[in-house]
Amino acid sequence: MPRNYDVLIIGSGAGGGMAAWVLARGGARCLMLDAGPAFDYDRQRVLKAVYDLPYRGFGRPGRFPHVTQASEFNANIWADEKQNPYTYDPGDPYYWVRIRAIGGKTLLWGRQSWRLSDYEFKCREHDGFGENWPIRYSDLAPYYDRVEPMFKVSGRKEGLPQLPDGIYVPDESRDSGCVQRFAAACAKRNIPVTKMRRATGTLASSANVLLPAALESGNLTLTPNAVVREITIDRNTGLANGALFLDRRSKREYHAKAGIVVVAASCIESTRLLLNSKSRQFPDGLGNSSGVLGHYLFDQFYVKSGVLAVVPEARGGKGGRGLMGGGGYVPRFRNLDRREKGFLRGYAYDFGSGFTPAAKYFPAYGEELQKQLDGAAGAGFSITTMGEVLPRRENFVRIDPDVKDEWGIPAANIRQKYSDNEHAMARDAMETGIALCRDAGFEVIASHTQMAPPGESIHELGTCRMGDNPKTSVLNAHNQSHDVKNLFVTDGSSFVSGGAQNPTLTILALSMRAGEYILEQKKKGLL
Amino acid sequence: MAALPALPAIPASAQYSGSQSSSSEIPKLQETAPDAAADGVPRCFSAVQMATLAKLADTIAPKLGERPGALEAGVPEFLDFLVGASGTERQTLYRNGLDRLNNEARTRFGKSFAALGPEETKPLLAPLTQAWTYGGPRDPYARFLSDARDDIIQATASSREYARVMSRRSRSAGGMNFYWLPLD
Repeated sequence: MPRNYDVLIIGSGAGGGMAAWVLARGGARCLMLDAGPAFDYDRQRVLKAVYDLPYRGFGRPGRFPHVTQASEFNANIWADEKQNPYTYDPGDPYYWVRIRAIGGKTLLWGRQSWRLSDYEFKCREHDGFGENWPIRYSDLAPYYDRVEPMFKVSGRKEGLPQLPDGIYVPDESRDSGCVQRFAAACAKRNIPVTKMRRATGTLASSANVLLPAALESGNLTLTPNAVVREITIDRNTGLANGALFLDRRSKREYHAKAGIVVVAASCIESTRLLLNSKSRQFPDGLGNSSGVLGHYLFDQFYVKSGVLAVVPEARGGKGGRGLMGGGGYVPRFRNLDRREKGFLRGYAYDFGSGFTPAAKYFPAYGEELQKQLDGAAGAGFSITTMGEVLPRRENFVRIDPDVKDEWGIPAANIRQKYSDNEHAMARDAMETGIALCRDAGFEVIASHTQMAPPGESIHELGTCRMGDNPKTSVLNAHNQSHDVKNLFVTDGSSFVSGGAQNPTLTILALSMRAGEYILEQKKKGLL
Repeated sequence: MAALPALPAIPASAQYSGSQSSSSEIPKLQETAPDAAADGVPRCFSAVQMATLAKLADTIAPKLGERPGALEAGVPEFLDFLVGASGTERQTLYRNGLDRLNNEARTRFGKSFAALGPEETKPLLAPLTQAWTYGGPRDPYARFLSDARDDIIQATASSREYARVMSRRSRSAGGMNFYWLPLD
């Protein structure tokens, strides 16, 4: 007997998990497919000492050439690059970091939870570059208001227009002495500083915050190990009617049927799936009448520990909790009220303190090195820059017909290069960071402007962007395909611009909004 | 057509429960990892290269007080394994670097690097006293020394011997963490 669902949801991370949370609890019968397994935290994790690992924590050489976040402890979580290949121009490597498992990347996310503002949603209105989103901040604010309490986001309200406040578990902790000194140095230059805004609580993942409630509704069927190959369409209506998928282990093929399809497989995977879903009606990929699908790939560039300093008063183990420890966040402060510094948009800093700088930063070896390390123990202060990357058509995802994954599905070919704008921003970030540290009385021991390769921030965005104009965008203001009205994409691929803020909170809010729109439209009989 | 109700793959009565008593009756056997039970078989470096690496490791991370050094931590033997398991680029960097160290020692002092005194090693290791640059030095010899220094320090700190001694001082010295088992 054929099985039909109201909604097929592809992907179980932030976008898919939130779609399931809204739709299943709203009465829609949902099937969720995810390419990976469901982790059992009791049975798949064991406490081990690093010396008991086969490679003493170095990891098997060459296993993850593009996943700098992988350690020997968590190596089995990340998507295997041999099973899941992708290609790029060797001169412009792209670091595609993936988790294929129930919960997706929310299993290991950094939990930073920042709202976007109209500096992002209406970026073109502000500086003339790129496209505006088809929504304003006020459209998404009510959803942010609901997502933050679900994920118990802690933070401090600041009243900054470029970083709207949310509904927080108040963070009233006292800043350490070095953080206060850094904040004072920032204040002298009219640069704002705030507490981290982080999801708190155990795991804080789709796997424990969203999916259990969706399953409890009785309306969600959750199927792991389902590698989706293609979204299928009804030739008569042109509407999506399900998806073909393969069992990850047996490779047996199935057809999941549904009246509505929500794609949230993560930015590049979603676009790859749509591009691979070709038909007579959509020869260039599903929902791609505009030709925009796959284009405008961007992320946020990272300059990791771009400024590294030592707090002199903390040398020799004299730091202590009052002086050292903790960190904070400096939101974008460039190009807000006036054009400055010869680049568009801006960057944010994430800073931390109280660690011992790595040995590589000290020009010594042997006993002298140990002496220097002991002297700087717990006295480190570092700044990482996260910069806005301008969405450009020439940065794209397309299908590489010559390379297929283990399930015979054509792989993604990815092309992203940072432009002069991002490089100029990175230089300014380093120079300003050095000046701030020196103003705070810190000794700068290293600095650089070298950005991590594109993709490495795991904030890949765009390629299936929203917009009011069907000729220049793939999705409308409700994450709904302009071409196929029962097709929705609710992950980072729908972003039009991204600012410097970590994107997960916005993905959750967008997916919640899209899910409620689907329920509303269904109720009206329009879907 | 209505979807069939989803059934759990395993009947509830047979599903795993952390409180089940049957597994607790099976004793947990004490295990010893291979490198704590036996010596690794060298497979990457020649005897001369191993002697050079041992000297380099001891110079970079010597035993300091009770803090174990690279030799106590078995770092040369471990790096022979790690580099041997790595790609040719890393193997070439190490082999050429070790050969260069030894050749320089013979040219300057008429003896092997392994036989040099502390003052004699200094000019050969001068690149390690250069200021840090992002991505490390480009010169292959300086690059080798820089990479070897990082590897030697990390391998020392992640050794069983280091944890045994240093965990008396710091809880983090044992490097304990959750290890994710391979998935089906």
